[in-house]
Amino acid sequence: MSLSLQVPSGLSVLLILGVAAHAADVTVGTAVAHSGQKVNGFIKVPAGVDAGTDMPVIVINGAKTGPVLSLISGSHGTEYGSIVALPKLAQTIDPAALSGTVVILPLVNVASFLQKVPHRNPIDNRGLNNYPGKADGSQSERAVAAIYEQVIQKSDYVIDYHGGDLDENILPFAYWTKTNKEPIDTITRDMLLAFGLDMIVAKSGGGSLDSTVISLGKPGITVLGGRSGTAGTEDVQALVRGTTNVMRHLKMLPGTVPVEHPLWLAHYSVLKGDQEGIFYPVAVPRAYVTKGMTVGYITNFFGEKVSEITAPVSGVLIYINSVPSVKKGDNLGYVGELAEPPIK
Amino acid sequence: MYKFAGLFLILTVGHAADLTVGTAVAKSGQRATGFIQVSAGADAAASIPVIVINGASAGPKLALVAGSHGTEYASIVALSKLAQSVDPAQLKGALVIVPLVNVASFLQKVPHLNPIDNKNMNRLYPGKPDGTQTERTSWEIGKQVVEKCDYLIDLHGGDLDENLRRYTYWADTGNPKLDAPSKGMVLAFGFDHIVIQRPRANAPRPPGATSAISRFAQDRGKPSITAEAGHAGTSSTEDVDALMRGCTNVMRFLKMLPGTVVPVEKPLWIARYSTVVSEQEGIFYPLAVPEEYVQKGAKIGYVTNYFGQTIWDVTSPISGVVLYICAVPSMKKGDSIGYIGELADAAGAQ
Repeated sequence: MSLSLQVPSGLSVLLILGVAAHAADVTVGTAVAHSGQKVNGFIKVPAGVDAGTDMPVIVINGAKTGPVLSLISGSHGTEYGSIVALPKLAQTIDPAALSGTVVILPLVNVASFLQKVPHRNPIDNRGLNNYPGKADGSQSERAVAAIYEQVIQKSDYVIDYHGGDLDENILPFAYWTKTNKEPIDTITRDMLLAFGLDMIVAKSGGGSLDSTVISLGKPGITVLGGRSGTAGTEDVQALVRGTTNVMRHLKMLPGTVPVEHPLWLAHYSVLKGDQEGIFYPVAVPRAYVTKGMTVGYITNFFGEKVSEITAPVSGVLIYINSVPSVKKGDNLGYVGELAEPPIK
Repeated sequence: MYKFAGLFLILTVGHAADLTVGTAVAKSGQRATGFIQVSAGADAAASIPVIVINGASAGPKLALVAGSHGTEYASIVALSKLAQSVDPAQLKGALVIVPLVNVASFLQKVPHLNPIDNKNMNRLYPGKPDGTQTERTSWEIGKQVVEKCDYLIDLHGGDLDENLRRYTYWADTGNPKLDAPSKGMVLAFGFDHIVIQRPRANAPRPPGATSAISRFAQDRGKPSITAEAGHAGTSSTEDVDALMRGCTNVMRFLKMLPGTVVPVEKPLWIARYSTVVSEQEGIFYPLAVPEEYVQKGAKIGYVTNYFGQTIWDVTSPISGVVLYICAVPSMKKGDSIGYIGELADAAGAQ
């Protein structure tokens, strides 16, 4: 309570009242945050069929009551933009100004990050985003089960952070998992508009984190920023600013949120590598491509062109492979079709 | 002398004649360099570098012109490199290469205009023999380059303050003798974004109306296209190579060089474009990138005052792709912020 001694008496009263109505302690893993505190810790995944892992967690327990918002990043440990953004964001949030609680998992897939292996957890060669996981499975499954129990179940809202992985070139955008049910679609749509990324891709279901969250009746969205091994200031700032705006939108922080007019896409098609070889992109993320337009090509290791990668539909290039490596069946990009904005 | 000349002509049957542009005189099978001299008049004189490559065998004459905006560097670098790479022994016909029309703009690093008379070097064709430097230069280029050629490519790019990727312009003039070969040229050039110009839309023009060099050439029955690559003071290898490859492919298409061309099969056709004009003075921040698809009303940038307060959100007037967007913070009222190209698919024009 020493803080209250340093502020004008009127505010002290408010703080005392706030304490009176204050949120209870919040415990996630080893982090126990009293009201008005920011505490670091780890979610411990004990060893099982393979090695254990410690996932860093930051719990910011606001001085005032409000919802629990969880921010989860780094299930692909080389999508650096968000892994850099969330710790920066954690430093900027003042628990005294916060209503509710923010639970931040900046790096879920620690082994992927340390070993620089994109897309999967190198310990068990699985993705770390197949929810709800298994308490007695391999490391990825146990990690997911721990997040599901200790974070998702305790949350009111969840944001899952991704980006262009080591081999993917994107500009920041967001996914909207549509259930065709209300009010949840409107709540997630408004969270996305508050986040403010200027392209939103509608999708349905899947085993992703946001759809798992939504299946529990909680709003969840997915945002992407950063690309190809970089954590550019512009991308990092877009994620920090967007998250702050969602907190304002949820009345967890004071301030207003600007209205944005994003580009809405739906029904994306996946571009697949049909040959092994060297990939050359000829289109950039966000470019409009017409059906049949060349977006890249593959040569063999002798330099002879063996395949032309063309757009299967007309639409906007959501991402494109950014590295020369390609093998048969690899994803080389997504083309999203233009959709009507779901808002007047 | 007469007899001797006759003998020479007989000996060179099947070869192209000498080709003279400015001070450059290239015999068949030769490369010659020189200057197009623009004499002093109302203001200073100018010397415009020209390279004439006269092929060993007969064929069409193609003019390649760059640097009417002297800080659109990629195109200037591309043409000076191309001038060295074409082998006259392999060439059918002739190339007239003018890599830098606006020398003062280049030397003084002044975008868009000729700093000698503050005029745009690609708007005043046919020019005037007794006007200011830009007009006299246009007049000379018209007489010595355009009139002597059969085909023309005008090369541009994002200027010092413009961010663009790569696109070409193709004019749909309604004259099939022009449009069929120029369409072949633009597809051979190979850029996958093509903006359709419709000069008929503003015809008939008032007497004395002036134009860009491409339209000036079209009016004289010479198929011509415009290509844009490079941006904001850069001349990256990728952009320079793309322009050189494009010009080489057009030469192949015109049978001036051996080799086959793979024309771009499915380009993105842009039916028309809207210019976004600034309503405010201040510091400009772009929020869109070249080639990005934006919807009508989308925020593509904003302007703050010098105190950092946002005073104007720049929104797209139409749905389409960003052809270019301003690359620098300087912004005054009336400045162009960018072009938004409307998809020809959507406009039902292609």
